[in-house]
Amino acid sequence: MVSIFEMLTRNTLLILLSIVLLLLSLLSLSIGAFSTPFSTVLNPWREDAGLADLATTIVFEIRLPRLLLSGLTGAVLGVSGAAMQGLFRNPLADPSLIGVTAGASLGASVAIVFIPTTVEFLSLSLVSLGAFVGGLTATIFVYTLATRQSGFSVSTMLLVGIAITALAGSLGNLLDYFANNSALRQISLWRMGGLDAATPSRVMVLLPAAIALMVAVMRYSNALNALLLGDSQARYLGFNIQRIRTVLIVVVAIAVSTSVAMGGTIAFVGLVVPHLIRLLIGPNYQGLVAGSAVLGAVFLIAADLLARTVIAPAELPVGIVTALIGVPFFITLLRRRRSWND
Amino acid sequence: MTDLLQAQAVSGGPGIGDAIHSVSLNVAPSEIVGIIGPNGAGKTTLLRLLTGDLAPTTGTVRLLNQPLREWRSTDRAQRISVLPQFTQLDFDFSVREVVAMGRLPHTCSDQTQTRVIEEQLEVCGLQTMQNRPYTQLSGGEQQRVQLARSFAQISFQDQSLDRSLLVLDEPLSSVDWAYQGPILNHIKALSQRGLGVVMTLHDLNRLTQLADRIAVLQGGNLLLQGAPQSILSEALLERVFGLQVALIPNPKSDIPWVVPL
Repeated sequence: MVSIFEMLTRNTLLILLSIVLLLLSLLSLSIGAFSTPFSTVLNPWREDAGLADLATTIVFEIRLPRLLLSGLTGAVLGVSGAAMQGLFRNPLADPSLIGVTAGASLGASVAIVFIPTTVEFLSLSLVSLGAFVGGLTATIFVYTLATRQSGFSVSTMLLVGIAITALAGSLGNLLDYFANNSALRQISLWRMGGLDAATPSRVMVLLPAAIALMVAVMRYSNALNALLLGDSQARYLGFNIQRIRTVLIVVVAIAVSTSVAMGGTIAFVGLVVPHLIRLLIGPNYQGLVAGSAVLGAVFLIAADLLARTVIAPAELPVGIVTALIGVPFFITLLRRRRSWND
Repeated sequence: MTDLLQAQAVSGGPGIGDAIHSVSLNVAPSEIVGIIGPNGAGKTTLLRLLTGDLAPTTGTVRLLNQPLREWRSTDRAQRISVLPQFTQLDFDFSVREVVAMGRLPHTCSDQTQTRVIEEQLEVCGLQTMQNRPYTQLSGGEQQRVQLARSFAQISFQDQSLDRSLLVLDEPLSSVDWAYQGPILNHIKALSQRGLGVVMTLHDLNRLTQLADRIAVLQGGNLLLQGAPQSILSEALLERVFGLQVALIPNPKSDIPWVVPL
């Protein structure tokens, strides 16, 4: 059976995804607890009566930062997942393997339990800062422990990553155990992820980390292809894999820590988005990186749109929605792929 | 003409302690050097030391008169193409994409890249399957794809190939009989254009008929090296492989067939 997916080329997929991203963005700016017509979204400076001012405020100061933050977060998670799967030569890898997610989670819990939430730094809450520091610290631990004189070993890194994740999880549980009820609820909500705290300044913090990540992973897309053949083969093909790995781990750790700090832990995107792109256009990193960035953005914007509309005016944490809509979709695609191979 | 590759008193190994002890081996342009020895003699380790995948604990390896470790990795990849014994690739690249990876070290026009890739697909009998996913091929087909990739890595921009080296570790272990001859003929043809080749092959007869020089390894030591017709003897093979053999005259060349008894 020939699927339509097999006819998709890299460029047509990117164009299609970009169109979807654009339409979804418009939709996301106009839909919400307060519904704004498309015409207002497209031309908010229209001479209109009082309502337009309110609409402009909602669209520009609330929904636009939130749209940008979810898009950037989705792109960061998608591209980081793709990079990790290449580095670990394993399609099951995701950014949490280097300990960054568990570290960030612990950092956030520490901030919630020990520091009054009113304290802010550079307009970011200390919870975000705690998550950022926690994520980076865990990665530095994993990286240092997996490094020997002769360079670092991927399999050691995988094991150390799992160990550090378990340790951070356990310390987090210890904090949960001693936390009071309100802190406990705050921790548990934070872990479910949410983009409701989006502000322009948060977008501006994530933007450089996201750009650095995309530039690095795109620049090393050929190296990531070669790495899938094995370390020796990548070296034989002329890549300085030690340096490339270090750069990629650093940019992933910074970008994921920042994104977790801004939106909490959002599961599933980093694992599934690169997979979907591979199912559609194959594993070549030349198309995979851009594809994962755009699909990651589409996926998280869609998830966030659902999260804030299904029970409007209340909201669901977006981390719940990503798995709820992602898993059935992913399983359908996996099963369909099996049927073409047979 | 100076040698392409010069290894002087090289020792080293992947673990603690040396698996290779003070081996000296040179490869000249247009020369095919075959390495033989029983399992565990250190053939693969020697190839890894010669190609810079392992750093020697003592001794030096020079490529075109410059120590290997001083080469920039991209420049080195343009000069040495290596096919290791095993390649595990679990991602669904197409056959053509895998072969094209061999061109990654080389920057040249798209036309040249396409021409080189097409040629290697043809040499290894892969044209009809070039769009199939690599992971769905049989072991022998996958090995032919990897071989085509290592051929594609040779710098064909130069008129002569006398500044390039091809290193193959058991390239035909899963390849069926029908493809072995054409692939070995292709290696011979490349060497006649100047390419230096170092290879191992478990088929002793194929290797001795092809190679200009045989290096015999035992327990990590280079026992001896020389032209196959001058060094092959029943006594040597019995000593190295611990098995009785007979040498039978080959009507088509002066290199005898080795037959186990």
